[in-house]
Amino acid sequence: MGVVAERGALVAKTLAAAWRAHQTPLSLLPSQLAVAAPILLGSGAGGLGWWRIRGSTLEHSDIGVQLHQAFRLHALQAAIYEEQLRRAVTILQSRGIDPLLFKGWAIARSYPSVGLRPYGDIDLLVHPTQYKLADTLLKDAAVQHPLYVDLHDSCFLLEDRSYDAMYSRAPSVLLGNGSVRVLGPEDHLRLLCLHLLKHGVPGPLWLCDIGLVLESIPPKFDWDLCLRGDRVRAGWVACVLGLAHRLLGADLGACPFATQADSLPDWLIPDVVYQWGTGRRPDTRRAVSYLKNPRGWVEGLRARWPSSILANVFLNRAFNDNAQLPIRLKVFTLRCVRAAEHVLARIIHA
Amino acid sequence: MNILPRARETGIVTQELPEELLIFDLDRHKAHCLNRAAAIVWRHCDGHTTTAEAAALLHNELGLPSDERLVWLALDRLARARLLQEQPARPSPVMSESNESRRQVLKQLGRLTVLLPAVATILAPTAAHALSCSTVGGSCASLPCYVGLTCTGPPLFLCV
Repeated sequence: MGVVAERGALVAKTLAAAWRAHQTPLSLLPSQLAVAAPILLGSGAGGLGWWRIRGSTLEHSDIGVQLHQAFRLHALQAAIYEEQLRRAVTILQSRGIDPLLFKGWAIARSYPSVGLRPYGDIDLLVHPTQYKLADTLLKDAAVQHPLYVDLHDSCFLLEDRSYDAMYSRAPSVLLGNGSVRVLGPEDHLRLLCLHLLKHGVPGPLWLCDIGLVLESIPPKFDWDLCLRGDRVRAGWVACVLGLAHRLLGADLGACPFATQADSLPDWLIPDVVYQWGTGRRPDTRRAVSYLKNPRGWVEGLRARWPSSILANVFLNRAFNDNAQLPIRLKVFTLRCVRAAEHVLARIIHA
Repeated sequence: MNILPRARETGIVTQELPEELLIFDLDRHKAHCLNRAAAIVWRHCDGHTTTAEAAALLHNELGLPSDERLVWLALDRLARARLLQEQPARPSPVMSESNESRRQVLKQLGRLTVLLPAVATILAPTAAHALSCSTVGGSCASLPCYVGLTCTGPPLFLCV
């Protein structure tokens, strides 16, 4: 295992079962925490890192104190966003729009403490016929005070499910003195898994979400509903559950296809730990951004070399043990061609 | 009778945690962490509670000596972090803001210093790393304390 992958593996070790209210034993050397900490802090998992080491001798180390600071900052950030969420939901509900909440707060609320799951915006899904009004209302409200709302009229990763069907399954949960609907557990788990893969499993935080959801599945959870639809995507969901189990120790007990989820392609775990070990998110800058910085071309080309996960998702392929190099080469070529097209279009337009 | 000043009510966001109270100052974009003693005093900064009553609260809830100087110490720190609407009005030299007076209180409290009212500014971890300062409860044997914190000196060398 290379240095980068070793770093990623240490991150996984540090965050194993970090979403649980009660700690599981952690044997981590201070030097190992020192390696993992910058990645935890940079990926928004600093709070979870602190949650994991609290009560141990590592808690009072300099790095432990930094992780604690991250936890505090995330906790404050949560208070600020929750206030914004209350405002946004009140504004919409007062005009008869009942939004569906997903990711972000909808998942952070399930963690055992505030400050463990930071989020950068508030994802709200509204009925397509109400989108325009909702957008206007929120933009008007944001003039006075900022509102970090990401408003959606459809869910790209759940496009095979109608808004009405998802709404009918969405439970109401408490939000301050009122309530808000969040995606039903089956829809939400599917969305979280696919969203994670779409971004190439960029950091450990979102996989912790999967572990948390997996271990808090309600007794009447409808697995068929969760996996219904495209078979490739159903396979991806199973792989993500397997990843949460193998990398972070999530309990697959409630999952009826635990064996399938546990048998992952050989390349999947190395792909993820390498990605985590880099401490970077996949580069999503558009190629035109390199026009002003020609030296960025080298970095741009490197950034377009996809991980196996991103390559398979890009081509909508099932994850299997086939050789990955040709798939990655193909996607790399497609991405470079697409980037060149964008640059050419920009030059012609200019 | 000394009345506690009013705490700020606008332009702040608070987050309650089991052992501390976090406050974000929306006007100055600063985050503060109040330990339990400072949080108790801050919550009672309502323009009605007296310093004697606040000292009694610290005694009842945290087992600290019922000493008004502790309340003034908390008020100093809260005022410095700009979490009060007005500056606390000091009645006598005994309650003075001087470092000497503060050191006297710390000395008399000995091992209880870790319970003293503390208001720490929370810095983003990367910045904290760059500055190499100790936060609340951290060692100040070889590093300075963050602004607003005091080093207890020997034998503990803790930032409080």
